[in-house]
Amino acid sequence: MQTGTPVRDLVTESIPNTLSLIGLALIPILVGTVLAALDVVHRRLDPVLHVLGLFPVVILAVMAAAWKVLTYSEFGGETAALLVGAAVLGLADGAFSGAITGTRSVASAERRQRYTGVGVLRGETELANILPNVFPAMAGQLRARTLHLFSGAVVVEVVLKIDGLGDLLWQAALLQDFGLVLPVATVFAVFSALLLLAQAIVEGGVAVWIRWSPAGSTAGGVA
Amino acid sequence: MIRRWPAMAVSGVLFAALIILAVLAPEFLSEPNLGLTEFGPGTVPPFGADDRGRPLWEFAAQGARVVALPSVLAGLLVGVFAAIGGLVRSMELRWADSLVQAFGEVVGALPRMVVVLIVALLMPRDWRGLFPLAVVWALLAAPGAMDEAAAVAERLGGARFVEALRAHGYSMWRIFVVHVVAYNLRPVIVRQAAEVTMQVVFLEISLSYLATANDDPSFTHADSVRSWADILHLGYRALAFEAPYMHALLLGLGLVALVAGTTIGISRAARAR
Repeated sequence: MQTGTPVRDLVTESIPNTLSLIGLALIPILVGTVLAALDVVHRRLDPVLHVLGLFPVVILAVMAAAWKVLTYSEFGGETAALLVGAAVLGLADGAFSGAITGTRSVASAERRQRYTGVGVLRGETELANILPNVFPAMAGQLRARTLHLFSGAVVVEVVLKIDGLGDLLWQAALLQDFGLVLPVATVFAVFSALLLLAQAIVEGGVAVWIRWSPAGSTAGGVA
Repeated sequence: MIRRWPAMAVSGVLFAALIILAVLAPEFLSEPNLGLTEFGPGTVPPFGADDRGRPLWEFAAQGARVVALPSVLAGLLVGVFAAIGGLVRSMELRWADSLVQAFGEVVGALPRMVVVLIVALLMPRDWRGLFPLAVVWALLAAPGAMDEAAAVAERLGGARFVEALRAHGYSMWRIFVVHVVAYNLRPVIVRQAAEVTMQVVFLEISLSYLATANDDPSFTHADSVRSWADILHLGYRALAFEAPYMHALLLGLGLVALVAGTTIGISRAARAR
């Protein structure tokens, strides 16, 4: 970290890297969520997912850092570091496996409800029936998982030498630089607030959808 | 159906190994042996040596001592919180339920690692250690555990379940402690406690690794003490720079597996009937 650089510059330069890392890490999580909601992930894979989810982020990050050094150099391969870091974040600490098992448990509980069976008898799809009810819960889970990614990003950024907010926070904490820690923590808090807002908007949107589309479930089906 | 005794036996053995390692930990590392050219377990049994010829078992033992007590304490704390969460829902104390929810919203709104780093920064230098960070981690994990225990208590019937047991003439102790907590909330309480114990160990490894990799002092232990992160960093050098420390990587992964295995074993034993 350069001394004498304005804090604003340090923070604004770090934000895109962290957001890219989190955004890329969300891809496997979103894929897992969709696959679980569609019920296409076989339960026989659960032990594999469970073992995969046990790896802590620091272990996978160390492996990824070693691969990066072998393939590029200790201070090169920024894009590769970002991609491999996102893969680490998306898999470690049960991020991917939790997305699958968490979504599946919510979706399967709804699938067992009587209204779903009635909808299927009317010729509608299961997903169209359960989606309004599982969407708020899935939005809540996704928010929690994204927050978890921000937490893991600190480790990944430091180990893989990605110039992001997590790395900045770590360096500032080591130097006991309150002037830098506070703005970085504030940015994290703002991201968290935005995630809460997004969740509230999704929940509100679903409520409006349910309120204004009492016949929505008949789309393509028999009323 | 999971059988309780095998799971208990495996987790008991793994946990005992961790505790024995912590108890046997030397206060200071051995003197360096700079003349050593082979670092493997064959030369320095049982786990080999580091780049300065010091036995790696001492690193493993000191690391176990760093994590053992704080992680178990954090797990117990979360277990107590989870039990409280379940009991609050069983008693249908709505004000306490709202309080727990509000606490959870506030505590769960920030990434845990960010909070831990800020707490580490605010701690006086004399207080440096894993204990305060483990307690903070436990407090951050508590709302989730309470929420899950409360959901289990609700599925059980909540206040109606308690009322039914009262009608049988059971004492309050038997209702709440034996039936609600021990019989029904046990799996979730034990699993949450075990998971937080494991998370605190991984937190220590992460924080120490980040410090070790940059030659900085760790937030979690004194400079004279080594942790499992030092073993993993040697392993990283074996992977990245083909240094002769592959045994360190295997030991580091083995220690992580020891903790994960203990957690899985304890959780399964608690879930078994």
